Amino acid sequence: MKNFTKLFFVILLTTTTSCEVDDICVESTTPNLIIKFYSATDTDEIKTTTNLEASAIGKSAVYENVAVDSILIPLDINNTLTTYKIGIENDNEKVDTLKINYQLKDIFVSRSCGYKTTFLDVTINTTNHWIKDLKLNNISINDEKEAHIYIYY
Amino acid sequence: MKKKHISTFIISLFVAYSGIIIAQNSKENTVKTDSIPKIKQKYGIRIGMDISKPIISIFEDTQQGIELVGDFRFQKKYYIATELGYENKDTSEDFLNFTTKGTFLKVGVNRNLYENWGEMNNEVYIGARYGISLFTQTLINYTTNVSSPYFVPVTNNNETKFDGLSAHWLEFVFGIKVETFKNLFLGINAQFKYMAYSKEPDNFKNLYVPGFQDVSSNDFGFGFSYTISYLIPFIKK
Repeated sequence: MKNFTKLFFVILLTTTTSCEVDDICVESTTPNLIIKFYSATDTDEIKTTTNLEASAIGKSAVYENVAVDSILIPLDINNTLTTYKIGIENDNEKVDTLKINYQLKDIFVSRSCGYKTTFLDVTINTTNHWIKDLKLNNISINDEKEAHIYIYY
Repeated sequence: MKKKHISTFIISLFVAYSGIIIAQNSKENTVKTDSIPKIKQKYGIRIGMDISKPIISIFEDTQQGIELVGDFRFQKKYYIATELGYENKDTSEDFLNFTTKGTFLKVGVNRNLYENWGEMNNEVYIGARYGISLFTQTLINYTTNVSSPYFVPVTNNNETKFDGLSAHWLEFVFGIKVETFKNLFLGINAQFKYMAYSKEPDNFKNLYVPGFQDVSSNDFGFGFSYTISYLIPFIKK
């Protein structure tokens, strides 16, 4: 009888202290739009911006006065259009409007991560105050493995 | 009750032993025979239920379920064992909520590792099961996971129902059963499970399966039961 009581508690312990392995979200979720900057004269040369500012219309800045060769900007997951204003060199003349159109598709990731939103059939329009040219790398944005847009200036 | 059984057993042993001594004293030259009668054990069908499930149903309105258990002793140490049940459970995760509804059946064998004394009929057992479940999942709502709150996602409240799902799994069971009153058994067991095959819903996953419970990302599962069961003895041998 004593052994049975011992066994009972051993089983009770193992049943209550079993651990959950997938409590933390480790997979990648909704991707940001990655823009990489290149020189307009030598299109293979990565060109670092000076005093870059980026903000979605009516929102606070995502980037302010930074010198970078690429930026990651979130897209609006509740609309099929996101408009960004991107400026460089603290110059009011050098501000371009980037209009990104897309279709939304939610994809299941995992228990702890839930769903992520992906962006399909992406099209981009831009003004050309400082941006000379623009190239879309892929029409769907599923992850953050590589740049989605190349901007030449 | 248990103590009574033990004491009757000890007394009978003592009586039997003194009988041997008397017998040996009177007929010293005769061949010694085992005069302790072979203890007969009960064989039959045992039916019962998992008592934790209805109790949880009372206190948690997100979880309703019932599980019937049964076994049949076909050899001294071996039992054919089965569990049959129904579950209706709401699961709430960080970014989504869903309901799982369905039935399950498990069939397998238990092996008793415990050496019983006399008429004792307890078990420390290990077992294996094959489990199957037929169920539906209803994704109630979800909010997409974004890395930054720059654009705050709106919760999607369109319920999506996934019908006709099924799952097959294997279980290793470890537990004990104690005869507390005549033919009435209390048991506790732990189950370690591995999902062998599950028909997954489109753009979702079977995160909970009736009878299997939570399915971890590496397809393992874990569960435990507290059972009460009654033995209907057919024969003693």
